[in-house]
Amino acid sequence: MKKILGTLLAVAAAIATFGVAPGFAADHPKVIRIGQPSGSYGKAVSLGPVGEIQVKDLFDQEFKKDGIKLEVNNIKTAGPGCNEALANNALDFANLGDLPAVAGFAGGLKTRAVAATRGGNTYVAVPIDSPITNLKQLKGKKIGVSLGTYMHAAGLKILADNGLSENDVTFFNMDNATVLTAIAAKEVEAAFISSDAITLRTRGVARVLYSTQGKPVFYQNAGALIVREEFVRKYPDIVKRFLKVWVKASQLHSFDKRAAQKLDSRVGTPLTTLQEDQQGQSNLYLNSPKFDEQWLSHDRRSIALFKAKRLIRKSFDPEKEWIDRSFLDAALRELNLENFWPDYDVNGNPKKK
Amino acid sequence: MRTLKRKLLGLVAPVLLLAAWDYVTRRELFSPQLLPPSEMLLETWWDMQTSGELALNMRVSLCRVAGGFALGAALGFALGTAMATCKAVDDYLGPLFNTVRQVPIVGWLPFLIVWLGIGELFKVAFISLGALIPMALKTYEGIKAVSPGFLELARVFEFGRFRQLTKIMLPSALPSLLIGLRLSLSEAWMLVVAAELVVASVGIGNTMTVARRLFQTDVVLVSVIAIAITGYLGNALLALLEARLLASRRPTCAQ
Amino acid sequence: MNIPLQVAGFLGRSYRGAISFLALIGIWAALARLQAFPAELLPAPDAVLTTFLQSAASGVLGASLGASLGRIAQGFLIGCSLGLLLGASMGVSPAVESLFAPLFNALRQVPIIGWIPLIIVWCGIADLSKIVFIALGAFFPMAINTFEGIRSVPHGYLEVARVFEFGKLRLLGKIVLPGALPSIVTGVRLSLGASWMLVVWSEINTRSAPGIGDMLDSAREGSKMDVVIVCIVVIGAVAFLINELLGQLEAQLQGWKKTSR
Repeated sequence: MKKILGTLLAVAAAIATFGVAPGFAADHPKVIRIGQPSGSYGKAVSLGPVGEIQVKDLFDQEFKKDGIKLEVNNIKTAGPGCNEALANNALDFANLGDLPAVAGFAGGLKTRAVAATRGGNTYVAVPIDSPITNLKQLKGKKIGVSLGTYMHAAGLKILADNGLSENDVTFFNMDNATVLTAIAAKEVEAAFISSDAITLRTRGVARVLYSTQGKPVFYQNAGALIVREEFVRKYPDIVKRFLKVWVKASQLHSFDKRAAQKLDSRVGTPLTTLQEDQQGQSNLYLNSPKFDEQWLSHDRRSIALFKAKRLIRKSFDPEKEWIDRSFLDAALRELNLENFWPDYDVNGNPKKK
Repeated sequence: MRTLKRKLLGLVAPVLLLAAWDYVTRRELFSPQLLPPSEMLLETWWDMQTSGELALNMRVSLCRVAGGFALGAALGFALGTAMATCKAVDDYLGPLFNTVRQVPIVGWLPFLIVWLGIGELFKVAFISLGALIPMALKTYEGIKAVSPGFLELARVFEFGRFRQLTKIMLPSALPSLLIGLRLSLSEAWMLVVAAELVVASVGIGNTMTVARRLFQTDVVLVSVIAIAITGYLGNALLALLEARLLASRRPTCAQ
Repeated sequence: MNIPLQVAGFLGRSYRGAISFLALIGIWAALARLQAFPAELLPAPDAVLTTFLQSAASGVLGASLGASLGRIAQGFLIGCSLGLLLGASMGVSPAVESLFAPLFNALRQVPIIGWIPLIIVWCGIADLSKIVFIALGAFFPMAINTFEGIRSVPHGYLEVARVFEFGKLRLLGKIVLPGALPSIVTGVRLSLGASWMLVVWSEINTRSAPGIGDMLDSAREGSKMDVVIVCIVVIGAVAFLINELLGQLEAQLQGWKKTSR
């Protein structure tokens, strides 16, 4: 009997050790782990700056000499899953949408926002033969949405503009795959989804009732590249260099919109969907890493909204408590890109210097 | 005295676990968001209790479990009995059943949603599909394990099929049937959470999922604990039933 | 031993078993033909077959299945051994039972999906998490079935053993474990059955990496129902084969049990 107990204790001790001890060297980590929401099948392909980093080998150019590797994690449970992974030190950086990033920080996750990310329309899709013709008719309807994502956030804003609140409709929480099935099977009367709506419409199973395309950018996603505070404290220099890589990648993604979309389509979204989704939007805007007036006001308004809707329980001031611009500013200066992206005003228009 | 000692012994492990929890949260070995301190849990529990949120969601989930469990266990019992007593049914359905039951239930989700929607019908069907399997297996196994001597005895007394089933097979398969019931109930509990994770607007599994997505780990843990306690009570109830049924049976068997 | 008769019996049985499979496929083909559901929600059997051949030829299917099988093998082995250990100790020793049973019974009620956030805390988002998740799911049915199996060994046997003054080890080896064997095998089957579901859940809930669950989920996301069905059928077929092997093993063990008595 003692033997059995001994074995159990040994196993428990082993688990505890594995779980708690972080495998870091003293001056720099062996690997930098970045997470982003994605469901791309097994392949380590990503969109946006991370995609550029992978394709153009930007990371190795900067870090190979130190023997540091990049580990890209595509997290199937999207932003919320990234938060869990950050909390247990399984990730160092994460590229998150507005609601997950804010909810993580408000929930006590010790992170710093080090670069802005933008873009991401939300669509209101209805089944192909739905009688619904305007947003006010959503009252009392069953709406499929993946709660906790930026689409949830945008959905609340869209409802509010039409004099509705989340209590006037029934939200059915489901993962993205199920939302798509549910719309196709006419099991929900509407859904708040991403540009997948275009794909559904192309296949003839859904109609797009509304989209945030061409609407004020407040309706779009405005997320952030975040990093664990502990990581910043331990390796400020590494964070600074990583930001340099990130800014370079963002610049490459800003040049040619078509090339950028082609790169992004590698994760499985049809190219035509991406083209339609980003139509009329400046590629410079979509890839600007700057915490400008537009981003800040977006974040402040979002935080207030989330607090009012009880999605977060603690409000905070992003400028004072969360954002750390020093790394981004240093990278922009070093790469001489301080004026590459304009500063955008509250409505997302470039400010005249 | 002995039972008291046994009960006390049973408290040792949970108390040790709680102590370890307290130690870990106090030393902040894990980030408090993933393992919140116990007083924070109490506070959250109190909030959820007084707002009626916990009771409402629990009630909805309990109804789903009850429906799915009753349906699944009844169908599983019928299927298990049919396959164990009738060779043709076993031959025709056995391989299909044994293959289909291996398919992870989550794989059926898209089809269940297409056929049954996303409402209560879907959830009850999903739960009952899962609850059916252990019940059918245990019924089958229990009846098959009936000692041939008993069956010969039944033949000697010229029992009809029905009498053979009710007087010989089911009574001696009872322990196995009861295990089947318990497994089936655990399965139902797990699947209500799974179903609500996939799609729901209300229910304790939905509370858990939404809280997880909004990174409110204390709410997640309170939901998990509430589910565990309710499941434990359900299991204890079945154990009580088992003890009574088996106690009344034992004298006749032992003699 | 009458081998020709056995073979004839097996053929007869599998012929009957095959009929229900064929009936199912027939209904499916008819539904697809009549377009009872949109083709993209219920593709026809031949479309699924084409997809199957394509993904098998490209190696995607094999790689995914292999990765998942590896995870199942590891998680299942760990979970089963620990479950057997705890179930047997609780079954044999009342002291261990009093010590662990209440906690075990409470923890057992936590739906396995509820553990995911905690497992990620301890084990990260890579393969370890998936394996531990599968192990945890395999552990509970194994432990309870071993325990119940041992407890269901008739008192008479134990008394006989006492009369013959069996030592503890001999009692365990000769009476208790053989008596509990059918229930233990059920435990193995239930654990294995659960581990397929768990490998799918675990692959959906952590970092994306090759695996049959990941393939299924990605297909679901892309509304590629043909791929979904391929995954379901492949999982069903492989799991069925493993289950049959277990059945053979069970029969062997039962034979061994009879001769050893």
